[in-house]
Amino acid sequence: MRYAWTICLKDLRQRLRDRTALMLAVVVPLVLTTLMGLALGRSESFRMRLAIADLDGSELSQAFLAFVERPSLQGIVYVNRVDSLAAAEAAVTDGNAEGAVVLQAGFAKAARASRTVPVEILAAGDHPFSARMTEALVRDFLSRATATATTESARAIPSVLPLSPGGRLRTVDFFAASMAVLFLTFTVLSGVRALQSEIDSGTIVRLMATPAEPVIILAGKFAALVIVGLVQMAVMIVATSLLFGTSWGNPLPVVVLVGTSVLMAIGLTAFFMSLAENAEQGQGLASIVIFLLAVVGGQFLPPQGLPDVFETLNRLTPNGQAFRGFTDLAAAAGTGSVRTILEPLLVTGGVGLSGIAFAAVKARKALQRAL
Amino acid sequence: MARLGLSAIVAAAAASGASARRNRQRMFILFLLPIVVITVIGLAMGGYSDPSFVIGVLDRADTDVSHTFLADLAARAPLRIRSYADQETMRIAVFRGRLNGGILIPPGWRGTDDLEVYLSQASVGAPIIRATIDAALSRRDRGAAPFDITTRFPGGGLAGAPRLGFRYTAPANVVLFIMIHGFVASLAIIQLRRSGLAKRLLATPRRTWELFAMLAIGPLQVMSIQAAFLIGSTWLAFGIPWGDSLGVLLVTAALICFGVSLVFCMGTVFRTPEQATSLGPWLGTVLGMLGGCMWPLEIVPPVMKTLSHFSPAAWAMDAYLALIFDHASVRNILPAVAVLLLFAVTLALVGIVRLRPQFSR
Repeated sequence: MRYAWTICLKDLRQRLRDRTALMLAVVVPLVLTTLMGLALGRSESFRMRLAIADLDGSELSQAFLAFVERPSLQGIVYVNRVDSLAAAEAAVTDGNAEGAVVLQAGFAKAARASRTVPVEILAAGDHPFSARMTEALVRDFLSRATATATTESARAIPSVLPLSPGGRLRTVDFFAASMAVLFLTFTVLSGVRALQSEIDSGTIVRLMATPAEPVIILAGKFAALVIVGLVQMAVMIVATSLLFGTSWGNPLPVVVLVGTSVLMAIGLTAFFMSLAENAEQGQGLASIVIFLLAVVGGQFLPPQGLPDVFETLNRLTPNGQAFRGFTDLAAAAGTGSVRTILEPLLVTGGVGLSGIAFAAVKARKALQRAL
Repeated sequence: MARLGLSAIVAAAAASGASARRNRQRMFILFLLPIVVITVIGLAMGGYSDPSFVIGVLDRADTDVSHTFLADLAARAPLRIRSYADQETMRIAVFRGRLNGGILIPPGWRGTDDLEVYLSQASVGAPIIRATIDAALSRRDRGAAPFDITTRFPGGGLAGAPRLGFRYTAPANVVLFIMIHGFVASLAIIQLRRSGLAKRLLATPRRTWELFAMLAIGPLQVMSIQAAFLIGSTWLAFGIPWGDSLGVLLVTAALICFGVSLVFCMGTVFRTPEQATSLGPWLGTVLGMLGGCMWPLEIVPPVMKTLSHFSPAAWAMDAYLALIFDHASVRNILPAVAVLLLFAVTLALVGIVRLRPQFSR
């Protein structure tokens, strides 16, 4: 056991001295997550300032003000009353409002009598969502107000009953998980490459000449890989929590998934390394496959509007399964459990153990040949 | 002497070409990987082909009323509707962010009852979708023709829809992969430095410009073939209308110059071959992300839009997108080409100034 620990510590020291590996493990994924979060993060929440010019002064125009200031729109629409068309235009052009509604004189009378109502929507050209929101609010109000007015007995007009899909997953949370899993595999890959280099150069064979059992030597090397993977994930989780406020979900299932993901990363990279003729070729092969799996699994793409086929592709890739597990836990917040991520756990764990077993058999044959 | 110099450069080009051809992994990364990425991201961007929101619908009523309601909703609002047969599948699609919302139409719905709608809590679309569906419900309930309401843009017209699809991903990946190649190809200079071959090169009866040309010719020819292959194959496979040929040639030439300048500069910045092969691709990706190779700059916040033009990728993308989408003329893209060349000259100078002392060390 002492030998295993010594070998593990030696490997860890080597990894710590490798500044390129450290950059790849921590700095690059954080930079990429920051960029993705900054670029795509404005899809997090919608807020708009709406200037309203009530030039009608009627009961109906007052009702419109109450309609856009109702509790369900609080924190979404911030109403700013102005007194003229010019003031409303200025609010939009000066950037003090994303949209404006001008209720002209005769608004109430026309709304009840015809389709053409003297109401004007002013919108900022660079805020298309605000233009849509304003138009939807005005149309909804007019339909509801005039329908109620024309119906003899008051009755409720149907509305949307919002349902929660189960959690909150911001774009930055999505990419934090995506980059953590992607760079976990690259970090582990550099460790696996170092191990393969030792097999190629014969260092391992020399180690076997020492009193240490082969299984102890491999245990030491494997422990170093696991520790590197666990530390990299822990750093990513802590850093994204502190920098972006990402909530990764319930700690217990997160820890379990981190464990199986590290196994998956070791198994996947060891599998491709063992298929190659030398460490350099193995690193190239594994890097290409990992990158392709990430592209196919939708890890570089913003989720919104992504075709459903990416859900299937995601499930077919082991890194995609790990990523899915983390995003599901983040989205499920406090309610996530091991049960929530059963499929990712089984797939990542299974792929990890199979890859490690395959690579171990190949490595054993290579060592027997060398001996 | 000039002929001698040229023959040395041609020999260096032949040696570099032969080395590239022998390396199957490199050939895959240079030519096939970009095509795979263009295809996958292009297909995914089909989902982003217009700036509308995507909502799912589980229509359990399946009546004329529900059909009319959905047709009216799709016709009057900028929404794309995807049909679902299973509530859980739709909920998960909203939960994971692929849908902005999901409407559940219950059996027997006649348009008079409220509708349950899954709304993504982390999407800008949630309040807008809610307001849009509310407006459609109240309009259906009212029965009369919709009101005539106009929207005016006093500060200028509505910004155009983002430019997406294969016509976006093809130039984006030409730019991205040429830059990545520039970072990774600096490996050759690092190896020359570390092996001591650089010192021997300096001892040969070659002038300095000939040595630099010999170093540049390898990446230059590979990048030229790579760019020509990507432009040609995406034109054939996806029918990308690349636009004015001279314009495309100019932008691509400027981009390749930038790629080669990266080789010189990074060849003196990276210390080990591992830095070039491990960090290089990600530095290229960061520059690409910043410059709009991963997503259109139309959708990023103003600060990011300003920052993006510190990346040469943004200038190359501006020129390519203008040629493809706006049918721009050569004159229109000249400023972008000039900036790209400025980046190239600056980096190349930095590289050359640093290179000679490093070689002789």
